[in-house]
Amino acid sequence: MSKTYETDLLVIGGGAAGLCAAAEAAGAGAKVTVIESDLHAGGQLVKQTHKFFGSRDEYAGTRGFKIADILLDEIKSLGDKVDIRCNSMVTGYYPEDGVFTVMKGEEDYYRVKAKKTVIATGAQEKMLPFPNNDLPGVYGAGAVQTLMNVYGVVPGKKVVMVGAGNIGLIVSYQLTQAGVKVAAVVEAMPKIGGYWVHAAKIRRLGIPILLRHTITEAVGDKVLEGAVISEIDDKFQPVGTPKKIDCDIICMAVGLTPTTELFWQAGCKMQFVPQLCGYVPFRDGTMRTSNPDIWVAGDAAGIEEASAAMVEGRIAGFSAAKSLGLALDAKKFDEYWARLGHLRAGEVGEKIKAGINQVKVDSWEA
Amino acid sequence: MELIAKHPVLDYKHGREVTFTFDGAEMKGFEGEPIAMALHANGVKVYRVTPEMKRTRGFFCAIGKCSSCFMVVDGVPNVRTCVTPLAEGMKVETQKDKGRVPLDVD
Amino acid sequence: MSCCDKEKLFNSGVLVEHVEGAVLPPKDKWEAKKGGYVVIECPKRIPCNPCFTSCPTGAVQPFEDINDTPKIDYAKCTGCGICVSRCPGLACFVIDLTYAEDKAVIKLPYELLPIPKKGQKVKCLNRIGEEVAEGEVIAVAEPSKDKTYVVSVVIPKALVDDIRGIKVTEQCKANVICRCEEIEIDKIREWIKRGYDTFDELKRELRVGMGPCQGRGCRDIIMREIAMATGQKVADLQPGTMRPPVKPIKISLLAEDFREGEHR
Repeated sequence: MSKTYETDLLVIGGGAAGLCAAAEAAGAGAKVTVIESDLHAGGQLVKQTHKFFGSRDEYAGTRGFKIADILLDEIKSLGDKVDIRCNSMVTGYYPEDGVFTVMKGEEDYYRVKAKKTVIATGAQEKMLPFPNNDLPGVYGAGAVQTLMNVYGVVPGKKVVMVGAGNIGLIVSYQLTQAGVKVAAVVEAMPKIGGYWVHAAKIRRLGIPILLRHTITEAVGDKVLEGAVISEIDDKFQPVGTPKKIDCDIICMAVGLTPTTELFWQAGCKMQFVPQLCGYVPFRDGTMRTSNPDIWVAGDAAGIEEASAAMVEGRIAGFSAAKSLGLALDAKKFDEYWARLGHLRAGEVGEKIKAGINQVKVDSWEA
Repeated sequence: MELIAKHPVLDYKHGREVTFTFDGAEMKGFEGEPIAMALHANGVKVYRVTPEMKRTRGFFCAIGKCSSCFMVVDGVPNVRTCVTPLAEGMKVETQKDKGRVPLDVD
Repeated sequence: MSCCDKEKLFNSGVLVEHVEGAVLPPKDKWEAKKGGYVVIECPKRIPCNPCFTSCPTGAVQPFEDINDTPKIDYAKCTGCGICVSRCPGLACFVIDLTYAEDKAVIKLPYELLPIPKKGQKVKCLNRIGEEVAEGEVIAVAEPSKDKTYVVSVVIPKALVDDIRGIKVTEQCKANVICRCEEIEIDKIREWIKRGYDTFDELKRELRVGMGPCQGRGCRDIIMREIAMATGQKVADLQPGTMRPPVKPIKISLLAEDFREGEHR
């Protein structure tokens, strides 16, 4: 491996947070390289057909996939400042040389040396333990979104959705839009985890949300044929008679967990924070990790809504650009934090803030 | 291919239609779209059989973060088919064991 | 319903009582308000404000905190329905109680297929998706040109606090009496009730009997309906005037006929 590619700012992950970080830094004049593992940039935004919450600043009322276009247009308007490399995966960080390694497709492999790096690797889906949970047909909710919303493939005929957080609720609605029947949404907790209005909109379509229910088994020989669900008690133990629902898809929407391998490899100080759904790096008020050249943004910093990920991306991009010596308007920085403050002021925000408080430092120098 | 014919919000744009093979059978898909999506549209749900327990696996995360959709593509094993673009004439095969890299010994 | 069941329902996304962020307009004003008032059902605090930012008249009051639940100044609400199309949670509706004595109009957001057409009958769904009535679509708009349609549906007034969704099928269940002009039994009964209790009167209002079949398909049933509603015997009723042509005919043939002057 002889090739080494150099850039001012390396952004790992071209999703909501990464694109905002890139746009912000490039807007300030930085030369930015974005490495994206998928075939196109936009991350999870491109799969979202629903309109976003938040305020105008976070594109409220605009559908997710359109927001991805808006961000890409912003980046395009900055000329050749940003190089987005898709179908490329950062495979590791080597602290001894300070380089990241990148694999493009299955064949091309090279190093990247960056002055500063924003890691916005997002998250991956959580799973539940139950018999046959690896059968083809048991899919992550995001995977089902990719199939139907990005590539227009009919995911199946009948779905049992596991989890009534925002993703489970939204994907149930999207499945209905794609003409797929959702037999039921099962949720272990005594109340839905996602926004109430998302639940109301699928309830009025006749989709049952079974609270205090869980999946106990997937049934099928080689491919999925059904789901066994059961009511559960306060201790999450099955009670009563299990019920079998014929289905060809079990859609798992039981939460996400941050994707953080690169932080670990870069020696960033990490902690497991339940409210942020997994291990996350410590960060200061500029989203900088304990590694002075690495910033974090988006779900990799803790699972939250895409609206917050975009603002965090702006903050990280801003701070990284500033540390490159570029001139920036400090007012903008304060405004971003004010926006995040608003987004986190609600009921769900309380939990996020409690989580962040466990990994927030005033400054690394202190 | 089983595609969503009409959607209330989305307009799908597909690329050029290409032909590929799955375990020898000819199939159609769209150039540049992930192999896994083309297979699913053709009704293929089992992408590999695990080496030890012989469990069937299909795709799961669809963002290249898991190992569920590994297949042998043009002789190369462990290809993440959910993020690998389809091309004309590709030879896609069910991965049935750990996958062996073809040795190029001269 | 026990309070425990109520709580369970609410926790799964079903509004069981009107609480802050999900209130009905004041009844007296509402009943007289042409165009209706907005009804927002957003009882939980979430960071979202497009209902406020999209409102052209300031009827959705400013949010102190973006997480506040919406509050309405009914003096300013025109029932325009912009918020219906803009709310990401599809939680805004407009309900107009002035449409008819026992009918109201609900404007609701719709993002599924097929898109209903004006005049179409649709199933009306309550908050848990049960079909509770049939409604007639009187308008379909796309105010924000973003594929969120605002559908205006005539619904029974008694169900204004139940109906929050619609189910559109390519072909709805319908009880069609006049096939030519597509008039359903409900409409015929409604007009008879209003006092149009002869066939000819109904013909002038609804065009029954004026289509290609000239009443051969519907007259029988309509006469029976009139008889039942007025307590008369069919035999005592007038079947209405029957004019030529009894079958569709090319107008050129009529014109030729006229030129030849045979029937002057």
